[in-house]
Amino acid sequence: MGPKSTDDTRRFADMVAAKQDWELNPDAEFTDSLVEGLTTNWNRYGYFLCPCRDSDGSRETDADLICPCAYSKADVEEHGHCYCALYLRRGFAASGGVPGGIPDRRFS
Amino acid sequence: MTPGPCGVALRAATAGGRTAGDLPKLDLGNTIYAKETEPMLEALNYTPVNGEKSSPLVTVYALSTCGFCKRAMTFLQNHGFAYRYVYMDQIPVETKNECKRELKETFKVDVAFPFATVGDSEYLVGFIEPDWKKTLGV
Repeated sequence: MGPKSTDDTRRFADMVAAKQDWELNPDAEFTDSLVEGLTTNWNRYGYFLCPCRDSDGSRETDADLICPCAYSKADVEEHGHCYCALYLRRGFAASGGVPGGIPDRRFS
Repeated sequence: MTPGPCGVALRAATAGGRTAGDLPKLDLGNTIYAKETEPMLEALNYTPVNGEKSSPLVTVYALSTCGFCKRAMTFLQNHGFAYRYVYMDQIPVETKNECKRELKETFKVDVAFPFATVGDSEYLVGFIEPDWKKTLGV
């Protein structure tokens, strides 16, 4: 499989958001940097490792961190956004919510 | 410091600094040497960023791909802190894992990014702005 461009990754993120009924973070600069980070991770590891998590070294051990990560649904539900804040609960930003750092559910 | 065999740096067990009891000992004839095992964290290649506030020493362990890591470093710059950083996703995974182990052992906390050390004993994990303000006194 060839390298991905940021446009490819943006299409992937849009698709995930649509499927889960989430929305992408409306902070364009922040979201662009995450899309870039996801693209870097795809081209580095061969899968969309969460841009805010580090790889343990293999796809198997990183499986729960592949975007959308295994913790994203619970985080969106509880905090209004996923760990890296790429995906937001629909209406979270419109109602004044501002994504911030949240605990990594992987450790809980 | 005494040069040892095979280019391994050796320090006599009686030398100052670290206690010899912490170090693995090599018996080289009549003299007991301790193999110097510097923490991996000290060997990382940090990038310095200038700022008017140079104390306490702030070190940021970050991921080059992470939005909150960028925000944390922008926060430091906006508040005038000098700091140093290293992108942990740009070093070999074995080195990174050892550094995470050292940080976890020192601070007794799971390491997530950004992870910052402030002075010798304080740390910040994740970019939760009120925590950074409180710890850094801004």
